[in-house]
Amino acid sequence: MRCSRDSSPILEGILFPSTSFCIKHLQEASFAYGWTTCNGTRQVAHGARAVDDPYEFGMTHLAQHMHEATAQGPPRIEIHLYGELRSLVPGSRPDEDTVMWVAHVMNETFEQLTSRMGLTPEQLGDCFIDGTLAKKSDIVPSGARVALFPYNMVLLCGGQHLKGHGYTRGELDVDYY
Amino acid sequence: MSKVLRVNMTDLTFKWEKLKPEQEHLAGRAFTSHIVSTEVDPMCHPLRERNKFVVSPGLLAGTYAPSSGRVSVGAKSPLTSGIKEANAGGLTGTRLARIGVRGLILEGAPPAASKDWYTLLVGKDKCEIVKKNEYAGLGTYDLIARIWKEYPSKPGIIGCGLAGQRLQKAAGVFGNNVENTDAGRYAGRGGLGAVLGSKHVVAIVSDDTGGAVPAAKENDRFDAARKTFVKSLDAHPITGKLKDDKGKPFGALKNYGTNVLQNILNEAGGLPTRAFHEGRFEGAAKISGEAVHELVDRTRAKHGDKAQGTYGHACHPGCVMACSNAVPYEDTGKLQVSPLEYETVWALGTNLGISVLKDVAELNRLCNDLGVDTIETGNTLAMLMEAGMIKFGDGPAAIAALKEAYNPKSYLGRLVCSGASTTGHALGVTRIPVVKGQSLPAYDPRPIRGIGVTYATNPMGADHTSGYTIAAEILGIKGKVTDPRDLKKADLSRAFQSTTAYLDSSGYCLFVAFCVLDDDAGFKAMTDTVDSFLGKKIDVTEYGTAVLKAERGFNQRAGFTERDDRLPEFFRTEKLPPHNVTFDVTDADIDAVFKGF
Repeated sequence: MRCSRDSSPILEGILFPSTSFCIKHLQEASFAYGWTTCNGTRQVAHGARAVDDPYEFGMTHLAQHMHEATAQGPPRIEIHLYGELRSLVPGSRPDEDTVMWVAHVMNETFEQLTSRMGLTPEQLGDCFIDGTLAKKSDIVPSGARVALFPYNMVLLCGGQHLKGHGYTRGELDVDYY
Repeated sequence: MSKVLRVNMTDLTFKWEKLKPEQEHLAGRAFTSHIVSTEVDPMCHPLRERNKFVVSPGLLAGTYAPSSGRVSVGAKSPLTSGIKEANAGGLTGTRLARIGVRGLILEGAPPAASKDWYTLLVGKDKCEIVKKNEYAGLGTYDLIARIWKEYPSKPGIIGCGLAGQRLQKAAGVFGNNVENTDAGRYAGRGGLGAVLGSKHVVAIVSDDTGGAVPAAKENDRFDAARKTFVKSLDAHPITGKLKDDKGKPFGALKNYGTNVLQNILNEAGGLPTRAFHEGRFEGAAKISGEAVHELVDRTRAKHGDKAQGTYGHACHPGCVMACSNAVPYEDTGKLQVSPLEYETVWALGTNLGISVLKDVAELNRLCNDLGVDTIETGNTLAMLMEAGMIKFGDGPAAIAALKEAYNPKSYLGRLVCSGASTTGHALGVTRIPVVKGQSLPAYDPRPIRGIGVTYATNPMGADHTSGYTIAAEILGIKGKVTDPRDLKKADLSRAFQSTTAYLDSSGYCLFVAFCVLDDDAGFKAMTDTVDSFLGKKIDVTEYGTAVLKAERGFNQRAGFTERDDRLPEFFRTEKLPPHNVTFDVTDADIDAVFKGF
């Protein structure tokens, strides 16, 4: 698994959406962002707690790590990135999980979250919040697992017009981003 | 002028027949199901002489309509005991269509004591039934190589492998790919390879020398429509070109194949993992379409011109979507298997807890070589794991079990080619994921309930392609009706099933659907090609409904009732994480799909 808290400009925007937000949360608790390289080397930033290698144990262990971290710091969101969006995490590989953790913002919608990440609707395909297809207006809860697929990964939406001909039409409210 | 070739394997004779007036608009699935429902006794034994094996290219196969070269095979299924149609790409659809063959009907069977095996050679206005005992018992990779060496016209080949020749219920009908490097173009489901084996036919070889591109009744309209359709397909981010103007990956199917779904279904929590125990697989990324793409690029960089891996590979002539791939061995760059599709990666990987890409690809290669359906075989291997005979995640043990099938005296080898239902029952497993005897594919019906209704009700047994309701059902997950279409599952599933039956008859690949998602012009172009080819307006839903009625009627006469339209009990009683839901569609709602049919 490749996870990241990085210092690139776009990630600065993700982790610290505004100065006030950044200062507020930094004052409330030490941020616990970390990432693990594919060979298991642990790297830590901003006081993150060292944990066992989540790469070896997959999501179960990651979830445990998240739980522990949340208990000690501000709430976060676990974002899984796919396709070209993986490039948000430097050094990521397409045959590994690419995970980014960002701070949770109360009452933030999915649209606001992706905007905070510097992503436009045109860049996104099917996306999920805790396993349910995300809509722009959905509120992203604390501790959520968000999955972001790029614009060319929308296979689940594909075919509604054709296979549901007469029933599912373009003028109906379907979010394609 | 299209015609029908009828071959009698009892006395080894054949005759050409004209299409009957009521058959002129029938092709592909519509044709095979028409013949099976009108000519086969629903109560016959599927592996004896009274069953018939029917082949039919799709309506537009052989034309210049894009991605329209699918070929259907049909019969009474030895796996489900009901009617069956399965279709695939490859060369045969195009070859048969260009020599004017709308249908090929194999009937009768050599005497039970016969040890002889045959190959059927079909050309323009000719047919030969050739005794070819030397072809029997070969792996399909060897078989197709020998046939192309013997017949240098580069013919289409479909046939049955070892499993079909042994009348085993997981046997599929293989087809050679365009390059003849792999027999991986499978009409895999329903055990139809065993029906072909029961006729003692190892291969059907089609040569289109002297043939011609089928002509549309309204040629100018057809030409305009197909060109519009090509533009729609090329422009869409799912079906479109390989790279965008900046050189970044563009078309999802060309870049990642159907296995782009591995990560998507995993995130949706509907990816059946370890024999339907969980809805997410921690190893999904390692065996995803993205991983295959990366492997291909890596081996190209390492082995240069010798690298045989590829993506953006066309499964039949004229396919512009090119969702197929060729997976290389990393150490040599040589071809390991082609294609490696989503359903296969799920069945032989996720479903078994195996996340080593090379092991999954090797299991696929073995299935191709033996002549077995990957979905059925993956579920069968899962039964071995469920019974504790192999550990979940143990790729080498699964490979060893499947290799047993090469030994005709191996009980285990026979078992792994016999389907999940037979194997599960033999091993005392109580969680057997089948409907009408056929294994469930790669979408768990608990969080995605509409596909569960399709699994339960469609005439073919558990089959996602018969009515792919995934999109709408994802929106309605966890009992919360977020689907703005607000349809009951019955209406939704029936609509999908009807339209799919139309597509399965047209010769078009189901994936043409993706390009018309945002493009009404693409949809109109697609139906225009069919209408202009036939010279008459076809109502999509009416056409598909007629096919379904014929199929349901056959099954009813074979003894099927509403009680056969049910999912296994454990889907109603075991909650699937991460959504922790069961399949809760009522029996009444399931039965409403075909109420009044």
